[in-house]
Amino acid sequence: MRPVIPGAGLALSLALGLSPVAAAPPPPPFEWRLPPGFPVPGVPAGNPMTAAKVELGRHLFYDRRLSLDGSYSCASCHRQALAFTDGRPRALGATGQLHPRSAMSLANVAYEPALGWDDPGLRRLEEQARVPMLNRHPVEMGLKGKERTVLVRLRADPRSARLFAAAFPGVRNPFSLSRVAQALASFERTLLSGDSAFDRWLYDRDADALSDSQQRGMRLFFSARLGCSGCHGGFNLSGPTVHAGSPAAPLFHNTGLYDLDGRGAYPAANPGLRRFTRRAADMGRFRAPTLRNIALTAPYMHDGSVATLSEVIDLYARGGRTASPLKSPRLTGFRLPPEQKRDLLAFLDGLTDETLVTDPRFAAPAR
Amino acid sequence: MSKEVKKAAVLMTLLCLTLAGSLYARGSSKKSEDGAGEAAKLYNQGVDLMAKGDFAAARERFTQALAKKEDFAEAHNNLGYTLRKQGQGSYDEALKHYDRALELNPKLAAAYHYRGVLHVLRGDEEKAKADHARLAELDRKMADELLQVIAAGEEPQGSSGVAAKWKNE
Repeated sequence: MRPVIPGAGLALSLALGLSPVAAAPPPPPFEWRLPPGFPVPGVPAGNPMTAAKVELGRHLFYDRRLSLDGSYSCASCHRQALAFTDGRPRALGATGQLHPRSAMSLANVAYEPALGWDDPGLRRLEEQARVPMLNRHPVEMGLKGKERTVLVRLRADPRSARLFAAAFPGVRNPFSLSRVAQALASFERTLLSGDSAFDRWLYDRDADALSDSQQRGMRLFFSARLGCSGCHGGFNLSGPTVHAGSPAAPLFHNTGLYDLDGRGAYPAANPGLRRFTRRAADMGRFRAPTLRNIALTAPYMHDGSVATLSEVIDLYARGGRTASPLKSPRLTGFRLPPEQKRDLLAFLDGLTDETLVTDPRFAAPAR
Repeated sequence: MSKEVKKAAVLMTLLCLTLAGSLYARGSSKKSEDGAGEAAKLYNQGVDLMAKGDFAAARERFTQALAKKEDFAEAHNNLGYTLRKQGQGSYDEALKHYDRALELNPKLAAAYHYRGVLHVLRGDEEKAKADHARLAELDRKMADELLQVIAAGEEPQGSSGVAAKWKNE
């Protein structure tokens, strides 16, 4: 905490010829509580982190009023107990429509260079937060056309009115969808996951934090022969990461899940990166998700089409589900005897962060 | 290799700036100015040789650079690297130069990276983890490359590290 200098604000405001009341004290610097080795996340200049905004964001994240019939919140598809996924193959919207893709984990989402499975242009959580609220194809939270009603309701509720005022001090009318998105983004940036057995092994230098089997699995995971860390590497066990002062572009890979026409076609609902670039070569390319907490986030792949981690490993051992010509050249397959597969699965279990899924700071606020 | 060369080039740029800045600031004597200039020149030649994979010749240049300017952290670091590339028999000597580089400049990220890799090769995983933790505070991307080496328990072949593999296909 920065030391508070009594009277400093007063002196400044007098010097500027303002009345003392006009000078709102600057918020204290945000305390990230970063896990060991984690860099400071990047934050857009227009939406600096404050504890009050994070707190508002947490309330909004769990607020079912942000849906067409009061039945759905962000947390409906991003449940803390499941590392902020929903346990379904594909996400289910408020009107019962199935989303083409699976709800992604929000753990360490602050470090993702792009958000969602396939959109290279969706870079900021402030923009992403609007998508599920307003999307109509499919309907997710179903807020489109009801924004005003919901904002009026939030303003009328003394508790949310208080939270908005604290989060956006000096703003005459903070009840807008942009402010809602800003608060949600601030909360999401705090969903940091870095307390797995793997982290304790690495940073606490606790050689026993991972069992012998897990350590053998780790060697396999990071080996050139299996190549898992080629796409799921770095401190977040994901693709490239961004953080303050360190930009990065997202990467997208075709893992050969589909080849409907012998030329690599994917089902029409999920062409991957091609949806945005229109390039034929981008068919079926999706972002590699973080493997942190992966044991909690079944089923797997962008469309939830693989039920278990054991099946995922089998699939990669075979070099992919199809012989698609668009498949990444990384997927050459590998031989994995049963005991090695057990070791690899044990290591993936060691990426579960029990703190993330039980931390009261990330849980639904008491009503 | 190309990645390491890039790192070396960045180091060189920093070094030139540092040397220029310190010479200007201190108004040092002509003699030490020449020494620093010659050391930088030899160091650069060493970097070029490293890029070609000629570690034995590069090692000579870094040694000569250090004869001109012993407190040249980057030269110690790269000398350590070229020594390490000579094989296990040179590991102890390589370690001494990494240690000296970090004594001279405790914020020299590349030296934690190289020393961490050496610790892995020597089977000293806990020391490698300590270097990784320090490196993570200085340069997260470089730390990710060292993490790959520690977790794999082996040095990657070719251009090392996770970041090098993150190329769009």
